[in-house]
Amino acid sequence: MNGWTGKLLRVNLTTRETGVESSEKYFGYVGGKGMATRILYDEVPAGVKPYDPESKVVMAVGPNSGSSAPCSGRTTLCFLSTFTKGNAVVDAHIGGDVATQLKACGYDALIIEGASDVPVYINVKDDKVTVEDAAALWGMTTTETTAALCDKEGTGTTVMSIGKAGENMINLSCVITGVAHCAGGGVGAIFGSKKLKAICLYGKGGTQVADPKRVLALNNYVMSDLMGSNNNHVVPNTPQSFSEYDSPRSRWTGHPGLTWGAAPGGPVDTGESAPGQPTLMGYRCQKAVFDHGMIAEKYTTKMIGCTSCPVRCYGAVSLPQLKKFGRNTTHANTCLGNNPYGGLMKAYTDFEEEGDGKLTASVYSAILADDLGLWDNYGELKATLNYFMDNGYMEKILKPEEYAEIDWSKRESGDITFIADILTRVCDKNHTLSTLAQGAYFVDKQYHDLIGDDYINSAALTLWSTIGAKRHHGNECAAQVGMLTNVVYNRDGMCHTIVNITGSGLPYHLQRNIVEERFGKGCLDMPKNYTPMNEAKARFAKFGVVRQALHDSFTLCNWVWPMTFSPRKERGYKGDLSVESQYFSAITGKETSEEELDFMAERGIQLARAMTVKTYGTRDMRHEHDVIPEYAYSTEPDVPVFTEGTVKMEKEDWQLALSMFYKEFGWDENGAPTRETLEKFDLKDVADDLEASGLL
Amino acid sequence: MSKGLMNREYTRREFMKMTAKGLAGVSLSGSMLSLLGTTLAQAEQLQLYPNAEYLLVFNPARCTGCQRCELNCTLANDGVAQPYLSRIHVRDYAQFGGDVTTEYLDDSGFFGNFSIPAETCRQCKDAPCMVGCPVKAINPDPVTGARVVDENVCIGCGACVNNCPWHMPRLRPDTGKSTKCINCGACVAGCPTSALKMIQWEDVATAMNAGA
Repeated sequence: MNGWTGKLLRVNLTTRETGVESSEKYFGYVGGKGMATRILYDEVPAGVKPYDPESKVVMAVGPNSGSSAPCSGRTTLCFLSTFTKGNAVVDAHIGGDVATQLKACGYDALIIEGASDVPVYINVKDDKVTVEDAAALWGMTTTETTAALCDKEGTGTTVMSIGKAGENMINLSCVITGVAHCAGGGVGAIFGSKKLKAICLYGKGGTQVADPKRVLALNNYVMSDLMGSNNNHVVPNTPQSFSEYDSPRSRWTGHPGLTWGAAPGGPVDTGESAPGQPTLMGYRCQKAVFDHGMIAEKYTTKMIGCTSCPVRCYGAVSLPQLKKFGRNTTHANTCLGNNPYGGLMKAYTDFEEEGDGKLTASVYSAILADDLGLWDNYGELKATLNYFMDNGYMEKILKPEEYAEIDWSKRESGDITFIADILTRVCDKNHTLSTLAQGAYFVDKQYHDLIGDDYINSAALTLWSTIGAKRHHGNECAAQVGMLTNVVYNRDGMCHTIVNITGSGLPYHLQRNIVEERFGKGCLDMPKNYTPMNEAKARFAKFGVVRQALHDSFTLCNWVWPMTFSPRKERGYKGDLSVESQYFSAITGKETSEEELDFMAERGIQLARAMTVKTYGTRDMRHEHDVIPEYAYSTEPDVPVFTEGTVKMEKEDWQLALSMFYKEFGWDENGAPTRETLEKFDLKDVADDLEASGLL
Repeated sequence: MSKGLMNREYTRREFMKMTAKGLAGVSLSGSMLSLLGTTLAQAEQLQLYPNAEYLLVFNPARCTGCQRCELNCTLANDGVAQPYLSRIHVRDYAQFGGDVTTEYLDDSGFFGNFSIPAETCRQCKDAPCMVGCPVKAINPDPVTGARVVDENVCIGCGACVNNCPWHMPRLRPDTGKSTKCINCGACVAGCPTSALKMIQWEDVATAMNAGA
């Protein structure tokens, strides 16, 4: 079979039985997110809670996963949210080798069900699947677990594991694979509830493709003509011989003179890698410097990333000064993952030069968090901990002995072991600090009498919704468009389709001209100079999330795709939004148009929204789900809305934005899918289900 | 043997004499360093694969572990993206640089110092895979010199895998037949950081003659 493997692997942790079934009935959902969401709908009844034995985790890939297409190394995990209102369906995404290996083992999806009484790991080697004892692994860090399992099962084994956060069922916990590749959303705690310490994958199979030459030609086309750098930023951030434009915010940081300074044997210059040079494009993103500043250059060993990705967005650094803290001295990650908890400090103690204290704190905190399998919820956990420390609430919520045992002065003195003091306790279910890692919605519920309405609505937290979901990205990016891309999610939206456009580095007028051609006049305002809502913005926002769902289903990395723009001047910087469908056709052998593929991806969104309606027990998504916190309306208080200099939202305008967005999706004024819409997407059974529950 | 082939072979032998013990301590000209894509300090760790057609160079410091070489290799040669079949092996070396040692945090691989010591076929002169094949299914290609498996002859015994000191040949999971590198260069074309370089012997000869 081309693209898909046609098989689902089911592992029951209660009985330790395993089985293989056909996956063909889910092909209409593409794969990945769509497939996993449908399986969860079919198999986990509404009312089940994430830590119940009846709760399941479905991890799925799609026809593109492991095909060699650039950025096709992504896997989607679908499960019940541990940390947002209602515990409704969410998905998380993991990179590394998982997608390639799940395909190589011969499966489109792995369904994990039941719960073990004792620690176990799932061992998948092609068609040999076993549930093994993991008693000796319980309590280990994710790094130790990976080393132990690779030693036992083979050095090339792909290991996904949880740390203490998952074991202790801390809501904000994750699953880690390789170095720092993370599936968040609380899935680590669900693993922990099932006593599932790890999954091992090692496959000898592959991804069959219908037309290998066409796939190779597409790879060359995409890497030569369409891809820029991380987030598909298509202009370099310094002037270079080939570039008409440059932008300081671009993640295309590589340039002559900027190096991987700690590369073995001496610095490697990142140089120029002009469009049309696919064998040099891995030097475009010097992400350690982008994330940490120039101080990181001399500590940078190289860039790494997911299997099949030529962008390489993980900045790998080596900091000898970490040796004194008794930990690994190397780490690699990207964006917020490069500094998840360094910001808990009020001061930093430098080691050898100004600024290396902050860098060391960042990397130290990243290593620590990954070893604990603690998920940051895009900065929410750090913000919550700081909120409680900065406002004097710690002394009020902690037991006296708990408060006394922590040396709070370290925070001010710059002793970074403070971060370990805090995080290890956050992962201890018996310590009150762990209550702050429940997710903002549940923190607000537990401590509302103390913190009032301010916490959940604060700019310090920067949620997109009071359901406890972080803004990632939102109104800071194309105003209403960015904020709307979150609405279909029960966690942070993680939609990068839009922010990759606004952050591309191209001048505004070029961005606007290219996207207006497709979505209509007025779809993209100038940054921090926004206009009231219009229908073009709603179309643009819908495109953003549909493509995101496509990427999470197909699979591709939405941190880079779609190819809206190109780095090539001769193309007028216009990308090619049909590439996903070209890949789909070349891989599966089923000629499929861009519109047909988008329709299949949207089916998964419609289903997830219907599931949320059912879980919430109300059609009123507008008032129960799509509620943006007060900070979004009050930021930049001295600048009137819809004038230059503010990203603030306006209350009536947001309601109009929701109405227009709902209309684009075929939802009613409550924001719930109608029968007509569900049936259009072959979801009649879902419509019947909602009707039977009095929700249609 | 044509003059071109003779010159190529002569250069290859001279280069192999020069690098018999690796590049450590070898006096390399600026032209040669530029051709190899390395600095003098980095040259020590280069892995050299001098085959009859060209010099393949792998630089572990530039390899980022993306495994696009493996995917390209199998897609080009087998019509399937199947890393296990790849004739360059990155995956098994990427995490821990090979076997997991007690000192893995200081060893190579993602969990250590990020150096990735990938391996590929050396097309050895008296190739153990070829010499040890009980049915003579592995023979030098008359044009490229690569040691090539005739899958119609191969009985899938695995002697080639066991005999190769680096275990480079692989047995196809579906047919059980052996498959190995044929010097096609698909891996080089797929590398986004040019950690793999394919250098023609003519260019090596020029660099060797150019001196400092």
